[in-house]
Amino acid sequence: MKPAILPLLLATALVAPAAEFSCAITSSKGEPVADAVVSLVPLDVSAPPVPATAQVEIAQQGQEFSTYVTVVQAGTKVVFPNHDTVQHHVYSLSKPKKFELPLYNPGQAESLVFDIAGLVTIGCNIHDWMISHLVVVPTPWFAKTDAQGAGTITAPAGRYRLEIWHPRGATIAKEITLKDDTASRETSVLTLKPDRRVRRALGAKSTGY
Amino acid sequence: MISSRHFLLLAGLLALPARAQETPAVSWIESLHLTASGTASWVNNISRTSYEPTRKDDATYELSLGGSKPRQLAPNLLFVASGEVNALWLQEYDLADNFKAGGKLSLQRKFGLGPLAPVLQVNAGASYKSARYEGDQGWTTEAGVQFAKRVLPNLRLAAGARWFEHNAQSAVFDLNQHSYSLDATWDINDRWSLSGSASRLSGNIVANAAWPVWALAIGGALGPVVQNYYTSRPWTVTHIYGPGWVSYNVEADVDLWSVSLAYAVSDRTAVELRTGAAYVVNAIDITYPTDSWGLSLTHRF
Repeated sequence: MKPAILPLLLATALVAPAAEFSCAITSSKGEPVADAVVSLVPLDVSAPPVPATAQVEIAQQGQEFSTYVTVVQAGTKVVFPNHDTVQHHVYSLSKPKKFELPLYNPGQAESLVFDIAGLVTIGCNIHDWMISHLVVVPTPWFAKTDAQGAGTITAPAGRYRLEIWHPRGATIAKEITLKDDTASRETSVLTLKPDRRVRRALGAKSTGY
Repeated sequence: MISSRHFLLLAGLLALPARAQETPAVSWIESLHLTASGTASWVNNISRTSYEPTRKDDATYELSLGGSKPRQLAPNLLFVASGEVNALWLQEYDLADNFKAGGKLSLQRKFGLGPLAPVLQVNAGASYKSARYEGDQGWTTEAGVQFAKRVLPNLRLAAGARWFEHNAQSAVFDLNQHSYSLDATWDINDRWSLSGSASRLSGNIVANAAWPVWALAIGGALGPVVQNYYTSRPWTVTHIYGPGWVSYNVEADVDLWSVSLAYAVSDRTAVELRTGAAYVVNAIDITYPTDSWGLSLTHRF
């Protein structure tokens, strides 16, 4: 009896109950908000560690970063390949990870591990208009909203701290509970500040500061 | 007077904390930035004439093609080599048409990281002016220094100084000038930007006069001060602004200001509306006010 029951128990333990969580983010004007980061930080258990092979890419191309907002779990390796035809000087002054990759040539691909949760704002010191936000979260359960302001996360049942962040809005945090095989939905409204990014100008500005 | 030696010293000071590093070869043509622009303007008193009834106005058309190649020599130290060809036509007074071709080298040092870090730039350039009026043909050399800083992500201020020398075939068109300027650029949003500039230029300028007025001036009818000064300066009959018109070289102070409003049609193309004015006062307090309106289109390839 025992040998037959053991595999069944093991299989049951490995397949944890899952729940689907979806969110819809809109602005105070009723427009969908893209690039909002939604994360579920477990309150009752520790979040599983990030796989050793986890890797994300933020490339430089056309004198821009390939993504404006990227979300990774703490401990993920982020690669910064220069797919551009010009040099870049990638840097961040953010507390979770301060770094510089100066004289960064086309074809080069440096990588860094981001192991502290928080917001890392990345820029290029040659092309001031280039900016990318890397949100490092302490959980594998996260999503980034699409152009329709929608994001979906599949996570085990349990209590979570739901956090919603956007580059131009204040962070929303609240406790939620996900139940087995039950779809949860959250609708949030973000009040967005005006977009004050450095504008890319023509002519001489495109060649430097 | 700051000389070219001072510029070399300043360039050296900018490069001191950094050292050039070996970098892998980058395709030369791939890192070349090309821009083209066309401008149509209306200039009041384009002849720069003091006697108001004889002042000439005209439309001007300008085409420019420029290329630049940046090279990061060291962290925070950027070298840019650029070249430009420029053609200017006047609608009515085509003897003032000219064509210029030249190059410029600039070194930019950024003090710190981020868009709000201040930037110091030194530059030097040379160009050849091929003019319809042969006397104005010749080599031009210039050098400049500029200190710029974004005080906000969308507001950039700059202060600069510039030295300019044109060695023409005729001494009438020789120019030796220095100027100081203040510039501000405000990015209103991701499409619109507003710029303003105010500067003071000192040195030689070329002014023009109709022969009847010039004859009075050098003949003493306008007083001994005018006669003594104008007869001591280079002048010649050029016919640029009409039969018998004279061009003459004077020392002057010029107050210039301009305001421009630009609209980004795309991330590579912009349209700009610009207005400016120059208030010229020569060494004997004779004035030559000019003002202009222009519309330009710039495209980055």
